[in-house]
Amino acid sequence: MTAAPPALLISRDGAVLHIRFNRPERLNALDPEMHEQVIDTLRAAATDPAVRTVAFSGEGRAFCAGENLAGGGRAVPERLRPRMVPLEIGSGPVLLHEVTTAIRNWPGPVVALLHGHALGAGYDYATSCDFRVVTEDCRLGDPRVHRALWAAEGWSYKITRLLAAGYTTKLHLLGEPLTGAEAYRIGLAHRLYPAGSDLRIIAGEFVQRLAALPAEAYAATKAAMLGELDRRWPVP
Amino acid sequence: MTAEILAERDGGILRLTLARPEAGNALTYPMMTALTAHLAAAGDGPEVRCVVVCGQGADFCTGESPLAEERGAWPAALAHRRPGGAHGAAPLPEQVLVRTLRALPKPVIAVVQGRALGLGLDIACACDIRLVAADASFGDPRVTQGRHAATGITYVLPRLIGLSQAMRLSLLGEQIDGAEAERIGLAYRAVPPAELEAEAGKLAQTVAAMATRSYAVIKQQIREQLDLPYEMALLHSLAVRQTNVIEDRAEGQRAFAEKRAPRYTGR
Repeated sequence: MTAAPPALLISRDGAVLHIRFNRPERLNALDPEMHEQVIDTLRAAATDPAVRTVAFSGEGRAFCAGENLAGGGRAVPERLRPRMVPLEIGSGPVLLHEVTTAIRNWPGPVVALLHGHALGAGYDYATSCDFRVVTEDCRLGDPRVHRALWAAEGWSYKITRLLAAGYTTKLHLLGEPLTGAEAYRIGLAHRLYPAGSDLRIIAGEFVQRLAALPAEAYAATKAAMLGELDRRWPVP
Repeated sequence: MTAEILAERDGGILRLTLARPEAGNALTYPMMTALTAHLAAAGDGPEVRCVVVCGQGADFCTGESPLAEERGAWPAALAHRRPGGAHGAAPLPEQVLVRTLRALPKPVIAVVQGRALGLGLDIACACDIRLVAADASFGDPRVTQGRHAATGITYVLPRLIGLSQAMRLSLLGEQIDGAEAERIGLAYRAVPPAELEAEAGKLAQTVAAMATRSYAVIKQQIREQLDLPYEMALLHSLAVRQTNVIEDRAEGQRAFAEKRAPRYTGR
């Protein structure tokens, strides 16, 4: 019997750290161990001066179609239980809070390369990054309302600041995903490429450009912008 | 209650119609009182799954009735809060209406044809979903009339469509059509005028069949987190989640497992 392939493929390309979801047979649906590993990887990368940018992407047909709900809910390893909140079904989203907050607060540029599906937890990851690169046919959104679910990881804070509350009608209340082309048109995505593009190649120059930005100035500007979203004018 | 607000129930859909078409559905105090009362009642219990707010005739709503003598009786419930003085009545009945609409724990669709101006814009923006005719017109003429809005639109609009477009509407008093409203994210969708009613009916049916309590919780998260800092917003989400146990969730799980469409009850 061979060991299961790793759920995350982590590799370096110059100053870019690639974190690639590797569960293509289930459209990269995420489970708690994957969140945990992303948190640990980001923490280590934050103190590694050779890493200046993190890029998330997905192996196979999709970036990420959501959380792994198959097999009667999420099996949570004992060591992660303190980081989950017991709820009426399955387990709570504290770990998802942790990982999306770790992405949001990572000091350097973080970019999501989105193709196929970026739904549910995949959408949460994508909207926590600084930049989104999409293929025009990518489906981006939060269909949880159709399952009588909702997420508690902070999209309701983020999307109203990234865009404006008007877009929550389609995305969250009606649970209608956007295409990559629509996401680009309304400003949610920053680069748009044709369907079928290999984003790691075609957007390679953009990602390398992020890695070349002055790290300290970037970190200070990002921290100021995120902090000042919550502050009142005049800024002290 | 006044005959100028029509309330019709069809299954889980409550349709509230502003019915003063000869005056562009400009609202009188009795209309505001009746609309508020119907909305408050719709919020209770599981029966109403979706509220549709619309206008009879050519317009959605052109504001409050411009002539004080046409506005009718000040709401009895607010009698003790009617200030005297030279600058006329305070916009309390308007505020109570907008507040009730905005916080309603049910899906609310504004179906907009013709004009949605001033208080009409406030009402449309307090709904969750704006389905509009492509030739409808949206705007806030109050600034050009030397008045200012005190119904929360200066809070809502920058958050709904961003400060840049909000300033265009509220400060320039510019009117935009339905297609433009869709482009800037104010309208969910603009449709050809002849198709508005049919599209509205379909949308209301779709929404009324959704897991409407999940919908209400999502709406609460969006609304209340507009004013919360990031970390507080995360805690708010958890608190909202922990205090809402939703029966439809089990049906959602069963339907997913059985690969069929769910049959939600709104409980």
